[in-house]
Amino acid sequence: MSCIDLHCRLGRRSVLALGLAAGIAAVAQPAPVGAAEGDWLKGQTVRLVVGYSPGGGYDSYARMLAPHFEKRTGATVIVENKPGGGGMTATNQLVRGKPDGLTMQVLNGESAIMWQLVQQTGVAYDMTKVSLLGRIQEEPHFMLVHPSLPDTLKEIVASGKKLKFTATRRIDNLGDYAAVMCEALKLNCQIITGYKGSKEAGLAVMNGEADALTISESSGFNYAQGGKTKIVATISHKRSELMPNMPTVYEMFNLTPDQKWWIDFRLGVKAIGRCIIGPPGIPADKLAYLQKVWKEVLTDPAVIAEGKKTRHELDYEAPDKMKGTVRDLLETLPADKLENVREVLGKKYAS
Amino acid sequence: MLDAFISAAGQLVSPTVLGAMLFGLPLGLIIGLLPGLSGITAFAFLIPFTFGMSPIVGLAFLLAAYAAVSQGGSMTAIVLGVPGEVPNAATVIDGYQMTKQGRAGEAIGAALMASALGGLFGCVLLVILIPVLQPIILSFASPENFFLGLAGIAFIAVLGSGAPVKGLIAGTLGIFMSLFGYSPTEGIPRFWLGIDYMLDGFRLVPLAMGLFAVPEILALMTSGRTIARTDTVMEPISLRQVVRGGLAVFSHLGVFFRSSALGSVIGIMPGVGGATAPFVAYAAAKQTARNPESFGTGNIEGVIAPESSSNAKEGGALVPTLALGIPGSASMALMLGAFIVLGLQPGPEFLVKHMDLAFGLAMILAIGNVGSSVMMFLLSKFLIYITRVPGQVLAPILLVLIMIGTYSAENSPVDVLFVFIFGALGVAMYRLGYNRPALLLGFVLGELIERYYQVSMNAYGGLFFLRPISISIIVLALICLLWPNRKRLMLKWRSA
Repeated sequence: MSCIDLHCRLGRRSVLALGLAAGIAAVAQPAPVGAAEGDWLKGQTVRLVVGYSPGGGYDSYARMLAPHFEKRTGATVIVENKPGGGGMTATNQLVRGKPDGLTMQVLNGESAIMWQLVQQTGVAYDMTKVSLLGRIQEEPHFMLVHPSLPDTLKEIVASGKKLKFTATRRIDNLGDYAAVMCEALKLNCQIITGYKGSKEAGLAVMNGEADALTISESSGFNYAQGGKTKIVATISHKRSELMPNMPTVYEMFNLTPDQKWWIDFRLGVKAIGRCIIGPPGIPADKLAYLQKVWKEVLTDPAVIAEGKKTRHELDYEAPDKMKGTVRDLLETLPADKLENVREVLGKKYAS
Repeated sequence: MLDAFISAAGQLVSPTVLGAMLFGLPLGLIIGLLPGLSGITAFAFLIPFTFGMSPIVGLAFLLAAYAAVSQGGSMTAIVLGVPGEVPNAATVIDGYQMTKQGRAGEAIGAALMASALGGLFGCVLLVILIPVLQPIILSFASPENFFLGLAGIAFIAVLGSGAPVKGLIAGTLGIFMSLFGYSPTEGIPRFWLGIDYMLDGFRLVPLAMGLFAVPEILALMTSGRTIARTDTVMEPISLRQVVRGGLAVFSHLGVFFRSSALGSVIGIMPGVGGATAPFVAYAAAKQTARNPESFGTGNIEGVIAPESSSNAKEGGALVPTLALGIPGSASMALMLGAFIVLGLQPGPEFLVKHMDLAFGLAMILAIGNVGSSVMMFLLSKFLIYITRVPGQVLAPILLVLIMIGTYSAENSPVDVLFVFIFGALGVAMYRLGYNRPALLLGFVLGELIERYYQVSMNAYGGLFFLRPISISIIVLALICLLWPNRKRLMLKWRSA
């Protein structure tokens, strides 16, 4: 250890001691998270699992956040890529692991919830039981169409023309969005699945093989540059900062409660976004500490600024709020509605 | 246009850019020499180093390393019979035979020259196409991907030299194995036996390593002999062999140009993976050769074809990546990630805003290809020595290397287990005379065909084959398949 490192360590210790004193002083606070509680992480190796190969979006988020978690806890963070099952394998393994707080996952929360909802083969986790640690980001969606189609979604709907949407699978943040849009707006739809990724699905709209695509804000905005596709709707409660003039579906149509339900439902899943989770059953004190650290990291202006530079936007949401949303989606949906959701997402628009 | 080109060239000659390339090349070579590690690994490993670099410097560093990876991979394919990455498996067929005959130097020379020139070919094509890239990419759609895959499948029988039936059986087994795991269109897993690992079916890297590397390692271990058969009188190791091999490319220019063109086209099509190009080029070279029966016994054309197409493909794969922000291969998907890290936004507007950078990238890739060939040339004498190391010494080292390489592809110990399972399959196929490349090609193309057949049917209906480019691919594949029998066919046609 170099002299400089030693100083750093000593410095951190004295800070911790101060923190401890402050913690003792603040006994009146409800469930205080004393700094000393964090000691169990110091010098430990924490694994931050990513369910995809290195280099993708989730991986780069994990690698961007890891040093900040290390700085605040004194732990060494290893980002571990465990690709498989579109991210599902890693989550299955995570929930079987020890709830010691030393293993966490940067998760595609939307897919995880949707798979559980439609009882996708292979799901071995329960999102209502996992330890939620915080949301990293959520993004609105755009609906894009081929430039030969009318300029507004209203005209497209009125034309009654069959719309071919592209997706990789039925449930992949593209296909399920498309299904919800078709159901809510009573569109004449076909969802073509099988494209290798969202980019290839975008290409199929550009070359005219298909007509439409629902995709995350940043990618959609990008594809629409140069006039090979055009954006016709924002699928969100509020307008996108990238396209402030593009109205939301709520603004565009007078939706009936049933129509509105479908879009609300999908946007509810979206609110889980990209998030960090741990295995079920992490002891309460450790869980509170981890949640506190992640909150600090994800709301730190310096980290947010760093993310902005490399297009890794942060949009933190507290675990308690996420927990409520997860429960609403997975536990309170009536059986007939659930059956309907499975039918619409899984089969209805296949041909 | 011309000023963008000149500006790109001007940016390249700065010491930082050249320095970044010089730094990237050896790193890429090392990754390439380790079996199982591919260009994707190289990108994933090296992208974090580019944080804070200016775009052109960062991309020079990455692309130079990337160009070198494939060179390193073909060296192990030739010298050890162990493909460095999956596309190099096609080079094993004839390259390793040449090594066994003591002609490693020649094979290395041919591979280096073919890759360097093939890479140049791809880049020149890219430069020529840059102004008209978008319409070209947009004219390729799912039916074209399907027919290219189908043409590849048709070549399986060709790969199985001398025993077409056994070749077809191996190819069918490969297609069958591609059916495990998630179905490409519905996302429903098949034959997964309730095992998490099998959700994604069998993996390509352990399959390639098991089929090709394990039987060779086992042979080295049990016979204890050197790779080059020492019972025949061998030429002393010299760079002259390498030079002779390199010059051989110029006496097989037809094969070189056909293979490079094939490689570039396959690279341009975003859906068709890079592993397809060298096999299709190999099969096409064999079909059009005067002496097809000599393929598989150490024919130098069997090295030139896959190597030139493999490197030409990368220039092609940059086409959709630059023109539309749609990656032309898995590694190019990571390349797009690097763009964003370096503050560039890939997408349809990229070419309009950064034409000079696009030219710069093509030039970097070209220099990277040539530079890594030169570097390998200097190392080649040392590499040939490896073929004269006793088997008992070499085998355990190789075994450890392929295990590390396979493990690091997905951090999965199950993959390592599968190297041995597929290794047993490889040994059995080798002993019984079944064609291993045919199995690998069936495995790669099975998924491709299934995916694009269903997408094409859904998007265009049953008449999807009536698109002009699709028809061209069908016609070209038929000509290539029937070429060796053209005289017989003509006779039949006239008499009828």
